[in-house]
Amino acid sequence: MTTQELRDLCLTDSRLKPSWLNLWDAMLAVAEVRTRVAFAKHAKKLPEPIDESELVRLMKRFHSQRSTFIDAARQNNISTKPPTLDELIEIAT
Amino acid sequence: MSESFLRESWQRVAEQEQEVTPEMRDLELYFDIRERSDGNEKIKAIMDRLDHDIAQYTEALFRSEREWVRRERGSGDNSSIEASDRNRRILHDSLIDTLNQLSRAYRTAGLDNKWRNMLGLDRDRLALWAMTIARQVMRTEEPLS
Repeated sequence: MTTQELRDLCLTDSRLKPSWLNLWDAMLAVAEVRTRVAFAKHAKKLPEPIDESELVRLMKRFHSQRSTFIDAARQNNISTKPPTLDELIEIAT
Repeated sequence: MSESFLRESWQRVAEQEQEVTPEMRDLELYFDIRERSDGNEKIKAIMDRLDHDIAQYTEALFRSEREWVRRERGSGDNSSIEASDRNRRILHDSLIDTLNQLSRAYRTAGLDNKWRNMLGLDRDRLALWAMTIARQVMRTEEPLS
């Protein structure tokens, strides 16, 4: 199952949708801050030290939500590998 | 991280692929524009603004999607989604304006600006191009996963 297929399935399955939305939201929060940090580095314009602690905190939340989602999927007999952050960002963009 | 490193990291991925994908073509076009902007201060400044616009637009896209999640959970409302979409459209317009300014600056400097025709005028196409660049910058500058 591709990540896109997994997303489509989760959005139509009421047993999986809540944990999927939590995972999706956690990914979006990481992606927003990661974009800011990555482009600041890309521009080599660092007017103030980048605070990456927020990114670390959001990544922990993402991993936690991913574990919860995978547990929910297994309980509902859905066999899937844990989607990576980049796979989720790919389908979000 | 240096510009050449960013390009080299993308080229290593490209060499491993069997076929040239649309994403590869989009990145090649971006790196070509960026490299050729280096010798001209005015063009370089517009190029930097384009990078800034891409970042702003990408962040807005993620924020809009989070508004959608809130609504799906029953805690968001349509007005928040509309405001978020409106902001995203404004940033999209800004990105396109900057691209057009860059094209004109290329022409004024006597540089080939055929890339602007290659990108075209379709808003969705330009958004996809910007997203491809954003993903590459994230993967290279902030490889988390």
